[in-house]
Amino acid sequence: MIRALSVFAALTLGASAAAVAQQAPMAASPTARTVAAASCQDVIKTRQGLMKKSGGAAKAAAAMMKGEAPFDLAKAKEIFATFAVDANQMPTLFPECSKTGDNTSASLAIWQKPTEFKAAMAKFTADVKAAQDNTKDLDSFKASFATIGHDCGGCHQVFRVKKT
Amino acid sequence: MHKLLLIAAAVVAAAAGLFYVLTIPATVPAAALPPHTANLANGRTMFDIGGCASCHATPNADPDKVDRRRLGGGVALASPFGTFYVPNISPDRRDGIGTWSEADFVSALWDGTAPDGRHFYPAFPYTSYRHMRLADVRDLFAYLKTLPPVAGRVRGHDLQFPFDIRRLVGLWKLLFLRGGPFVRDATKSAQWNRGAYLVNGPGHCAECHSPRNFLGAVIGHERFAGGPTPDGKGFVPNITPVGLKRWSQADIASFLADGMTPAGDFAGGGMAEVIRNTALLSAADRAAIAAYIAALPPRIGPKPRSR
Repeated sequence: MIRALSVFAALTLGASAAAVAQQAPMAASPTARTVAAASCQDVIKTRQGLMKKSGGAAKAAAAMMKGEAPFDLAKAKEIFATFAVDANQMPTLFPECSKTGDNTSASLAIWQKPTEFKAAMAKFTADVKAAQDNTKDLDSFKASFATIGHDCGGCHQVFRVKKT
Repeated sequence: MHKLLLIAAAVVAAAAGLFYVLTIPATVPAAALPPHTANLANGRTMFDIGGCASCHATPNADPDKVDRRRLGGGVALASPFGTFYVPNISPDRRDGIGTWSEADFVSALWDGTAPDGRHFYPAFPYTSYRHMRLADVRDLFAYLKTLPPVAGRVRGHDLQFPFDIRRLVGLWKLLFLRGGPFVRDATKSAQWNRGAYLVNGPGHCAECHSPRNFLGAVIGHERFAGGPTPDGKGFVPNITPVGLKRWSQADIASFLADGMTPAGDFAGGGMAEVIRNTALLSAADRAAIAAYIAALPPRIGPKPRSR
């Protein structure tokens, strides 16, 4: 009798455990949802950070081009390396869930014109690679940076909306 | 009862008459234009700083592919009053301004009046262009006529009632249109005066960089102090010393050449389009603009809403 009850209890527990285990993926626990939401906001913060880093690199480039700092080939390569990290990661940092929040300056055009956005990112990537390959002195640096700067402005014209 | 109706009718008629008279469009007659030899190079400069191509050129999804010389119109300008569709101003005789006289063009830029006597909406910034010197307006017209004709008429504006009643713009002009061709300030340098002229006349910078009231007019005491973009989605910065605290005059001039800010950012949105224009000016003109902007009286404007 007791053995039957224990078997019955074990079976019931087992069945309940299976039922709970089966339910978990269907109704995401609050913890799982918070993690997903946090990573979407993280994406915004990540891309804002990347852009800020690129801005710092551009600022350093301007100093060299204006003669406010001596031209240094190693520094130039560092600057383009920063842009390359940007170019590499940016295409993955605009998921559907990241359209609003955290004062993002991303324009909805990014999601409305995905072909154009991809093309702009591809051009930026190619121009940074060319800059890395072709820069050897101040003149070639100026020429390379001018092209990249034009890419920055061109993308911002269509795909960024400054709200502050 | 009969008498009351008559009096009411008379009042309505009088009011309508008064409205009609008050909104008669101003024009510049041909007789007011002295003999003038066009300077096409100057016309081209006015075209660049005036930003004509930015609104009037046939649009393209890739801004690098826009042909500045093809002014077929078509850009849609969203505003709190509805959407304006920018017209064709190429020399096309049927769909553009090919049949316009010089006086027609001056009336358009100074008074906001079309050749057929209709008012233009101030989405066309004649509020600024009216400060342009006559010679510059005429040079600009001569330059526009050298551009290729582009066929295709642009659709009419899509405005909410009552803003779709064009004659009402006549009242708006009475309330808000001020000043005429630029007058030099003798106490300031030639460079400052050139900058003041370019910024307040053809450059029409204040049209974007200022907040507007509920009727869409620039709020005078907050001129240049920033405000929302016309479509309401973004924010145009304060360019008085309050907003440009970390900018030197040289920073402003160099920004107008390549769009790069002192922080290493690159101008986007509408300003990227402006940089495409100012990049074509002479270095002296960019320096003049920078001198004027750097010397603006500091003003606090509206704060952007954070989302």
